[in-house]
Amino acid sequence: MVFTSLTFIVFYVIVFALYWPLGKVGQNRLIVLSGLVFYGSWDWRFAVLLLCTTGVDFGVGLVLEKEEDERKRRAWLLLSLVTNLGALAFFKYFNFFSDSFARFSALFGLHPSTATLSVVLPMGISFYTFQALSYTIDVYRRELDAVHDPVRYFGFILFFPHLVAGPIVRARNLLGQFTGRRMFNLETAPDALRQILWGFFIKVVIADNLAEVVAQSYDHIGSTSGWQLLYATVCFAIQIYCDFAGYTHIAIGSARLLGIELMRNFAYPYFSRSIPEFWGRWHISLSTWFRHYLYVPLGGNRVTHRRWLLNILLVFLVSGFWHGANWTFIVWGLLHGVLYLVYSRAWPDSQRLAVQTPGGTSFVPSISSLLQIAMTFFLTCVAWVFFRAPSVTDGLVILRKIVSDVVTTAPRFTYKHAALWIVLLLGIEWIQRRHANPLHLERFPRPVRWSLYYAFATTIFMFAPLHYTPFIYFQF
Amino acid sequence: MRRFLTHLAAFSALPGLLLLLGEAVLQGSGEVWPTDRVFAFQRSHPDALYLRGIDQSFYAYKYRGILEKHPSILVAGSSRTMKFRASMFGARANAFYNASGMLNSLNDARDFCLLLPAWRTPEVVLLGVDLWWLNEHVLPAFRFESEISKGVGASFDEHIIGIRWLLTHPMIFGSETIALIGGSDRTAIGISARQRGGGFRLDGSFKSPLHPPHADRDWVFVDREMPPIIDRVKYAFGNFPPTDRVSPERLAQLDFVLAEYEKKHVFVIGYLPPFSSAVVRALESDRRHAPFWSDFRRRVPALFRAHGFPVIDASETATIGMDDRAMSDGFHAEETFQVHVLKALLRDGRVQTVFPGAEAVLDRALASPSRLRVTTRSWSEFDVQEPEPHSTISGSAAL
Repeated sequence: MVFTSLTFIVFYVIVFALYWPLGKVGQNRLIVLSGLVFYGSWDWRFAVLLLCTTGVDFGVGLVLEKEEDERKRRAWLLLSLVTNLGALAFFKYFNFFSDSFARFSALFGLHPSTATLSVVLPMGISFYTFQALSYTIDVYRRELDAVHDPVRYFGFILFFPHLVAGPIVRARNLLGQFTGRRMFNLETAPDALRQILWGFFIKVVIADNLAEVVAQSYDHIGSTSGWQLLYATVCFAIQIYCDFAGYTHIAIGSARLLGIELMRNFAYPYFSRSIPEFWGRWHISLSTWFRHYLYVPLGGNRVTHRRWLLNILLVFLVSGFWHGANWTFIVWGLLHGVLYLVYSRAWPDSQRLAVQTPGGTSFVPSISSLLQIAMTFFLTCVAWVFFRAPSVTDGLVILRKIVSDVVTTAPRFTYKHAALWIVLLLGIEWIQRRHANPLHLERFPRPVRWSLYYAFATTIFMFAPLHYTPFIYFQF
Repeated sequence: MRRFLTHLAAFSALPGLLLLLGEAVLQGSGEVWPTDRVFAFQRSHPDALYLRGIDQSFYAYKYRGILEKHPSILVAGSSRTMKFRASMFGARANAFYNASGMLNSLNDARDFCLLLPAWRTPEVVLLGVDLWWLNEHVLPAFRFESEISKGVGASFDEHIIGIRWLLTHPMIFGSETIALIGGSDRTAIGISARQRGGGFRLDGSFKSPLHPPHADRDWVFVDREMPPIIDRVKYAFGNFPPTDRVSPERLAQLDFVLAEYEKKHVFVIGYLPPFSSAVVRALESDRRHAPFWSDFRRRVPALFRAHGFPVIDASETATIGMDDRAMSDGFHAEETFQVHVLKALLRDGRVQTVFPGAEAVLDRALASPSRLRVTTRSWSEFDVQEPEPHSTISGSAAL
């Protein structure tokens, strides 16, 4: 059941109608039940796995709260880590490690018999694993009291708007919202709907229409020109953003309509003027998770310079690996790590730009800002090549073709209409970049607002491809 | 909460109304009717024509027609053979069905031949073979098996496509809405049939939406296809990419199809449909097309003959004594032309045997100006009525 399907819309309307008349306990029970239905609609066995692994975390949380012996507490935490990361490793990385080991051995003339398993990757396992881990780690650190009410705990885990693709909200920021009875907020509800509308627009109109352009080039690298590959790479940069940000907007909007606030996940990343700023605007919930649960425990920046460099590279390496069991993601992560370090060295304060208005406050950006934005976008595109390419070798071939054709031939593209969607997206985002939701149009009178909403709704209806294009981040 | 829901309902009212109206028009016009319902309606209203506006996929409708009607005489091919109709076939008119529009490549021809149940196999197949079926650079646009499985009922997507189509054709949307409210009498199913007046008859043949001009001077050839066929040939696009020979693989595929029919004891009549004279000239003179064109006209008829089947190469209208005025565009001929094709075919004794009484019917039609609205120089249609079941074709009831 995906957000952009009719099934989900019907499902959500039913949940919404049942949810608000209920009291606190009833609301939490409905969240658990609806989460199980939502997740089980892919495969009920996935739901069993989810309940098992996160159930361990619930039990560990209760023990950790009472246990005073630090050694035992660490052992319990280890149990939680092993259970969660073990399941993740098994389902997501087993074949990768097995295959990589075989290839590595072959370099030395060895051909060990390695097993590969045809395991199906449970939907969103990386997301809910990190979500659940944040709970046990926070309880272990005594930053959060353990939850005694299993319904409340599983409500936090199974809350369907963020279950399969985030945002990965830290337990201590989300669990509290399941404590009391949620009250319907007339102030935030219209904005939630606008956010859902925007999410649908960028996912089904922009991302899904660009998906075809990208697939046509990246699935036929050998017969595609360098210019076309360059164009497809730009399209992919926008596609993956609209795909994931679209999902997140729908998730946040759907959650808000149920009285739950999820954290912002994207803040106009392509208007970033540096790579560190980009990471303050792209997949913010994952960056925040890594900062709290990996970077800081590694010592953060309160270590020697060399160690700090290693910490940064390690975080980006893990981030790349989190995305998928393929060397392409590792190269993507490392590339970003290196760029992050280069920028941090050359422009130490550039990360702070992430808390400012993206692209600067003036409507027309300065030449230097524009160049910085263009350079950052260019560098992210280079990294996206590896993210999208089937293999690292293919990624290198694509880059070589692009460079060779751009230098020697005149521009030539097909699917030019896709550029219109990109221009439309960036234009709207640039104008609305002061607001978390680009459809925040409160300053306009109602007729204008409604006309614009109708225009977006009509565009969705008219231009959404009718075949299903899966959310890219579901595979992670 | 109530205020929010009121606002939401107010906002949704207009799009909701439009969607409902669109759906009502789709249902009311028959645009999204399942094929069973279309056939049931056509059986009870034999004059009703069927043609959808949102797409031109006829596979499911035609295939269902074959299963329903179990014809002994079947015309199969692309849209270029759609104008053969039951009343042209003399005593066996009731055993006729035109399944054209359902075969658009040799893959389709092969799949159709293999998939059609044995108990539905016809005795005679008049098979139209298009030039581009033998061009290896033209890839099949449809998958026969999946196409024929459609049409049992309109999918959710088809409703969306239909409403989108209506929104981009506001005049038609408006007129169909008015017709819906006014409760207009139904003589056509599907928006195209209702709006343009053409469509498929119960016998599967296509009634042209074109009306014959009143004055003789108005009989001029116009290529109504967009882009015109001559441009497609000149600029070598669409179904006319340059190639220098008939594809051996495709020819082998045709060979396989004919052999299969031979095995099933089906009598196949080959037919190479016509092009306008300008298109023929371009195909003959353009070095990118000429070798393929002559190869096609030599090898395809030879293949039919090798299997012992009669074949008529009507690629040039002059072959059967007609000219461009018998064409509605650069590669579609009108009914008049098909009458002459049949007349030419009937010179073959084997064809005469399988179409008893056809020659007399065609002769009467061609000799009677009152029945044939215009002269044989025109591209007009015949003013005919479908024969009553099991009746013989004679006098004013037929051509």
